[in-house]
Amino acid sequence: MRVLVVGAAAAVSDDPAVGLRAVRSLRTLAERLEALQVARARSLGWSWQDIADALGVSRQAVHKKHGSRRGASLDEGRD
Amino acid sequence: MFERFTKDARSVVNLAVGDGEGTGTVDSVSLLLALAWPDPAADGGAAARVLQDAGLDRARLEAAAATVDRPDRPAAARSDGSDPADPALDAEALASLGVDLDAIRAHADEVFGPGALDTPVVAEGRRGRSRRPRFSSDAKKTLELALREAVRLHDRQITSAHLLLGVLRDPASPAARTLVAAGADLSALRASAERTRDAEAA
Repeated sequence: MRVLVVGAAAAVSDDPAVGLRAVRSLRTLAERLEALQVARARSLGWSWQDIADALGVSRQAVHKKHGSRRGASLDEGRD
Repeated sequence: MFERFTKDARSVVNLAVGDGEGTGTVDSVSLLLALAWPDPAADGGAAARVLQDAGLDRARLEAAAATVDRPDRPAAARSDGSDPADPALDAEALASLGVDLDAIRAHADEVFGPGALDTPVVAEGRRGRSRRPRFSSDAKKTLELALREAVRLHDRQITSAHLLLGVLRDPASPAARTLVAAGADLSALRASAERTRDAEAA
């Protein structure tokens, strides 16, 4: 039944199960978008510091998290 | 917790872990299928013999497992309305917040290339660092019940027969339901596993 509400007019739900699933999906979504954005920024020549400033985290944190991922620069730790 | 496991019980757990690698989760059905795998390297595979004697080979159990709901496995067919291609991104739940996953996906396709959003991040879900699949709660319960069976029977070691007894102890588990779906008689299997265990322990 719930499948029917997917789409433009999704019902507002007060069910914690739905709310929690939504939170989980938001988190996953944010992680994936972050990875994609960081990889793209790197490929466009952004420095780790630029990316860190934009994300509001330290350069070390962003480098540790994304430095070894596919699409990230291979010359880790230098920039 | 595996110190008391015999070699054949350990090899069953390892096989189950191998089975779980595809989906990231080892559930009780993974353990059952591993039990049905005769492993000549281990000491005969007591549980495999019990299952085989009851006409339950791996192929038959696999077919039965496909008909049983395995809630801990984020496998393909989900009936709860989440996107089967990607259980981690629940379009319906997001829509309840007014977040349009399709619109975000279309944007990502355009900026990052087709399918970009559907590539899982390596460390996603905080289990990315180790590649080992996690044990579902029903798999943990099966192992606990195997241990309890050994204690009940005053056995010092846990063999594959005890693991099978652990599976049989909880008739509600997906593994026990798989056995029933394969036409098994749970109490006959239990008796047979206890006998085999006697022979092994002697």
